[in-house]
Amino acid sequence: MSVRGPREGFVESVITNISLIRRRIRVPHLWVENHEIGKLTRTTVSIVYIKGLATERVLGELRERIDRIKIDGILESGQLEDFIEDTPYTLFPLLLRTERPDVVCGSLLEGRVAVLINGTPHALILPAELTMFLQAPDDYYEKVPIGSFIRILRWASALLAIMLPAFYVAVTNFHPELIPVDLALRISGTREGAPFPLIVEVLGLGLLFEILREAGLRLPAAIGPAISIVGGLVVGEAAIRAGLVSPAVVIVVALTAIAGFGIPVFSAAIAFRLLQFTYTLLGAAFGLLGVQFALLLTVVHLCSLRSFGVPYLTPLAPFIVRDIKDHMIRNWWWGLDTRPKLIGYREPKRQPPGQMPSPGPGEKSGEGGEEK
Amino acid sequence: MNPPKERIANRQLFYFLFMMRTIIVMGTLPVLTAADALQDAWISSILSFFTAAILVVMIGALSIRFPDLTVVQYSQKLLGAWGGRIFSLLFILNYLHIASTDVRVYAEAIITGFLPNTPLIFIISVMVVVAGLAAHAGVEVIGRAADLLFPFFVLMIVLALIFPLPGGRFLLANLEPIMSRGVAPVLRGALVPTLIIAQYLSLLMLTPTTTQPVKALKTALYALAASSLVLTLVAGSVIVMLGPDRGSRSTFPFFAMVRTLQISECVERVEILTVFSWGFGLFIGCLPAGGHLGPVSGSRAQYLSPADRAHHGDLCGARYAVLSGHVANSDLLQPSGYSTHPDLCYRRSHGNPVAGLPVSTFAGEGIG
Repeated sequence: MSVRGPREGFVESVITNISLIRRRIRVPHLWVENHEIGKLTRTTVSIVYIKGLATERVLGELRERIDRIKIDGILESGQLEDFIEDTPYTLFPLLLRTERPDVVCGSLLEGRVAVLINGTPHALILPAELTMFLQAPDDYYEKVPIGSFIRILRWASALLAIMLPAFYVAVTNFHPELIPVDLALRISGTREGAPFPLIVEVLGLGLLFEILREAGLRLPAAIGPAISIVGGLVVGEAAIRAGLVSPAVVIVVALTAIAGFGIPVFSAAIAFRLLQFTYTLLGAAFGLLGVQFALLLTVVHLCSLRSFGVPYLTPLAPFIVRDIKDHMIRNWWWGLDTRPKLIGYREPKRQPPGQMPSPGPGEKSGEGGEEK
Repeated sequence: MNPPKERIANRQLFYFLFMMRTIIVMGTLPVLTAADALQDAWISSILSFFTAAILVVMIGALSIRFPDLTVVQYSQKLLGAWGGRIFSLLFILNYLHIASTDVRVYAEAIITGFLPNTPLIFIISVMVVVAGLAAHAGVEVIGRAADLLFPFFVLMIVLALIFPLPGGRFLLANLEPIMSRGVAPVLRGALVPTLIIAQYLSLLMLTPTTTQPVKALKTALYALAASSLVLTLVAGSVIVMLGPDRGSRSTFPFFAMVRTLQISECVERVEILTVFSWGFGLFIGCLPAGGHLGPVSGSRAQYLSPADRAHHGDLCGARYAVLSGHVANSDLLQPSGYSTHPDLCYRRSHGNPVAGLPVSTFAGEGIG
């Protein structure tokens, strides 16, 4: 969903989906390669890219990986994803899944490649970097300061979703000197007579929330809210009243959950939320040292990931100055004049520079204005 | 789909070398603690740049003549097969030694400051395991991790240096009298930071992996200059904030200084965050701790069979053997008990209300 932007979405038929893309990119350079996978299903898998923009190295690798697949049937893009991602041993999604034609087209224009599978509205985009999972189409359509602010919020909420419970457990258990005295006294006051150790409370409530989310997800839209009311409000309130859990923990877990929903792509959000449990355990066992340990492990892991040869943390690591303008904050569209360095290097220039709008020379000429 | 040869940018080499030197000179502040330079420690820091630069040129000059070869390879060219091997063994042992020293210092800082009851070996192994995994992933991954962590590290230093400013808790008179006891103490103060430049021997292994090996020496000198600047500023601010006497008696003067900061009413005792972002720096800079193992085991391959370096799997074994050697080594380096410096018993805080409460409430069981 997006506040501003096209409401169209992909459907199950790959032909329709390709026509949705063609309607947006109306040049003959838009190439579609059809492959047939599945001994029994004969599913059409279409590789869509802009000829001359997408790099042949990625395309060649993709074709090779797709041709290698021997399976009886492909029903959804997730199955294909399992076969063609760079490494299976990671929580993080290495390919971007989307149902939106405008997202696919935007990626194609950057020089990426899309894979459409007949029978599912979910298309795959590759190579994908971590940044893409923390961006939503709205950021590009809203005004720059707003879009940038929302992006920063998302990074912050991703960090919170990973670290907040771990930080809380570590600080209250090991480093109370970090908390101001009044707050420390208040927290320890609410823990008065709590029956369970802190870590049990945090992990238990965290797991409970995941169950709640999963239970609400599969229900019809009419009943869904009932679950959240019963589960969240009634049970939560009663548990605090009964003194089973301390209010501070409920606040921390709820904040973490909300922060987790701040990540727009489901597959990335769930990866972050799962990491949260590892962090909490390490934080409970070893304090902030454990959190740091977990953080360093995550950093090393993220740095070692690649999506079709492109480092997963581009443009942060390796640091690419040119690409920062469309990362945590974004530049105005007239300033986004280059494609991502590692992906669109065949045609690095997007548009001629110097298109910044200005009121023109007018009466008081000589002030501002690019026109010559 | 890995590229055939792992490459790091010269920028990343700069980060490595900068962090490698900064964490250790900043952590132990040898200009202040290892000699009697006292209030002139900042002059020693500046001086140590020039002396260290000479050594860096000596280290780097040869390796940029052989831009595609590591020290293990070109020493075999220059000294003959066996001479070169024995010679480069010295370097490999040196990497190990520096790595263990670095992790040891880090672990001591953590133990003295924050986790007094945690076994030393545990903190060391945490760092070594992470660093070993990074080394296993390759020098490119470490380069990217450096890209990612460098800003946090620099931010930490900058914050620690600018937060004292508004409070006006510094006494410029601490810097006087300048050079009152002649040049000798200043020279002695510059000695240890100059010797620590042995860390830059990792340049010998890293040069051929950079994108512009010929410029590696220049990069190293820039890194040295940057870290000397940091060293000078940190030494200066420690003297100004703590006074030369108390500064030189601390084991970790920089953290003792950060400890005295109180940013506002409700943000105090930020030193633990400082120490942990210092830990980030250590992890990268401590390519000694694990990163060196990449080069080390790489060099083992060159060592054993220069022609055939493709068997990467075998190297993992070598890496972890070296790792365990690390832990053992760093444990043997110093007898325990070194950590109970009275100045560093952080819980005995000055005027902090938390310190007035029974220790068992806060230290032992925690409030959680």
